[in-house]
Amino acid sequence: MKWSFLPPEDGDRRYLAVNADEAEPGTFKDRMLIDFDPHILLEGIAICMHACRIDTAYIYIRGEYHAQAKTLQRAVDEAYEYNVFGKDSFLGKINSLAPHCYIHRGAGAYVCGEETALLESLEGKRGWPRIKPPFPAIAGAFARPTIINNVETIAMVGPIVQHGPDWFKSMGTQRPEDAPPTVPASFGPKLFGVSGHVNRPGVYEDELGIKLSTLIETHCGGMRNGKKFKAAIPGGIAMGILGTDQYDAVLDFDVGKKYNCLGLGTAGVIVMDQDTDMVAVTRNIIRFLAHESCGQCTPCREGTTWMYKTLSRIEAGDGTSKDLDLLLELAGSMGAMPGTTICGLADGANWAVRTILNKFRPDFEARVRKHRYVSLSTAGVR
Amino acid sequence: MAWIVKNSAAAQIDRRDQPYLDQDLKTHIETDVLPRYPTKRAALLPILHAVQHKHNWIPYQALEEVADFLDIAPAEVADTATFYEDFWLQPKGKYLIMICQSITCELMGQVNLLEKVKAKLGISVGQTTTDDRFTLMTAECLGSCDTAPVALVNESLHEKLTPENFDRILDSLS
Amino acid sequence: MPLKQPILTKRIPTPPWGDPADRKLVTLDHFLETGATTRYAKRSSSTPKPSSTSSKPASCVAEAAQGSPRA
Repeated sequence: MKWSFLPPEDGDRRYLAVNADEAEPGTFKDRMLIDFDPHILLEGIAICMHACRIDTAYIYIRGEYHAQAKTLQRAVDEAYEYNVFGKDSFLGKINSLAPHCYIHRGAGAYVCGEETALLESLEGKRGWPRIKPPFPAIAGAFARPTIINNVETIAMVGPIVQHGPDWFKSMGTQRPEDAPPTVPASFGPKLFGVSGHVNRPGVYEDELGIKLSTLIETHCGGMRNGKKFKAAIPGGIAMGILGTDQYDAVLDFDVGKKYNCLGLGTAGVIVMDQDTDMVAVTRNIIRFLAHESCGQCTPCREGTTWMYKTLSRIEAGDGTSKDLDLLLELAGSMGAMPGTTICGLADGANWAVRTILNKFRPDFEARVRKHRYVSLSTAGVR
Repeated sequence: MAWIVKNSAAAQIDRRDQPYLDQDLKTHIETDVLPRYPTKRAALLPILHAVQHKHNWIPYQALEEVADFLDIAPAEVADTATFYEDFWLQPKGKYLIMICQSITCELMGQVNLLEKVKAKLGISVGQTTTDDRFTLMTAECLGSCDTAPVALVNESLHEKLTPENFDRILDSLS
Repeated sequence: MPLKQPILTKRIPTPPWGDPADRKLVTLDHFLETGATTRYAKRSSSTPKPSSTSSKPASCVAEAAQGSPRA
């Protein structure tokens, strides 16, 4: 857990930042929690503050969530009245200060969901991710130790405290005894937000390790209009894609290694049926990332824009077969994993393009002209 | 795009005598906003939200007043304000229509919806109608993919849109 | 292995346990009755004075501070 990284108490202030900047396309589980059960979140916050000796919690909610910010504010006011926070808090004085919980509204920047960018934004600066180290647990918000957790994580704290860790570990997929340490364990329940071409899109809670086919057929009532399954994005657009033959994929934290994509991410599953145009899907994903790139690192700022131009060209029918290799080359050169950017936004573009191109290459090849020679101007060089 | 900058060297700043950051706002900031943060600059986002809520947009003069009020450089305020897309540094219409264009909404028919709205209002994305009532924008994921396509009109979210029912929603706005 | 009962969505009707149409905002009282941890829930019974008098509304953050209108 992230909580164990905190340095020992030194009597000065520490912060908790709850990440409710839910902007990943396909993800809407946190909105549901805030909309209907905000107190489960506030309880988790109170426990976290007590356990980690944190005096001030900020809930960073995205600017577009107007109604949710109001709901949450009312719940916070209720909690103040119930003496969870405030000067008479039953948590007592923490770091010789009264515990407080504040809501901080973002203003429409996807990158602020990245933890260090969120802190920059909390400090009133532009949401530019910071170079780590120092990690936020050592020097985060206002250069003090800070814990950053997602809404779902914090909401899960209450039930775990109540029922104990063994109960939590009894759910999900167990790690095989002989598995190498790189295989992550996937414990607990998870909120799966399913959207796209299914009969009943929505948030479904189930154990990690559920099969994609079960999720679609049992929970969502099957594919819309009886169409066939073509592809699914396992967790937010930045996580790559599951192909047609991976309909039975087991959704847990090991999904990336098993099915050649990045990971489970936010578990916001986007399902696409047989008529989906994969070129348009890729173009949409890259448009989003190009639009939301903060512009700090050159490979991401230029790479996503260049990819978007190339993909638009392919979609319009003006692409050539060389463009596909160009896309792959661009993708392979950007991201925190190749080591060229600070945060993981470019990795999203990298994985999205690479996995879609690898798994649906015929879709792309049908759209491009097979030219052997490409002029510089067609390739985007001006 | 947060990182696109404009040539501002020759820009003229419109000014008026009456301050945008009036006493009401100042009192509100001092009592409600500033105590929440250990540094003054951290209060910038809530303050800009409050200014925008009052004036519908954030004039450059207001940025200077905020900078003065917080004892930081105007450039620092502008630095933050220009990064976030929710802050309008030019006037917008009475109703801001933001149609989600992210992947699920596109799969579920956002393109058609957007075309119909454009035709109805006679403007394209980023423009304001001549009577200053509607400003049309596209938005990135609004976090309601299960009810796609969706659009945000000012502060209310409209879900499961079709060109027909969105037409009725727009007509019902005064 | 499917989940036997909802955990995070205990109070939010979600299929297969409930109908999303029945969803409504969970108030603090309802939350305390149905699932708060013991210490959180016990708070109300062990408060010596009415909690409403000990917390000034002014010390709560104002909604308008967030740039959104009240109510």
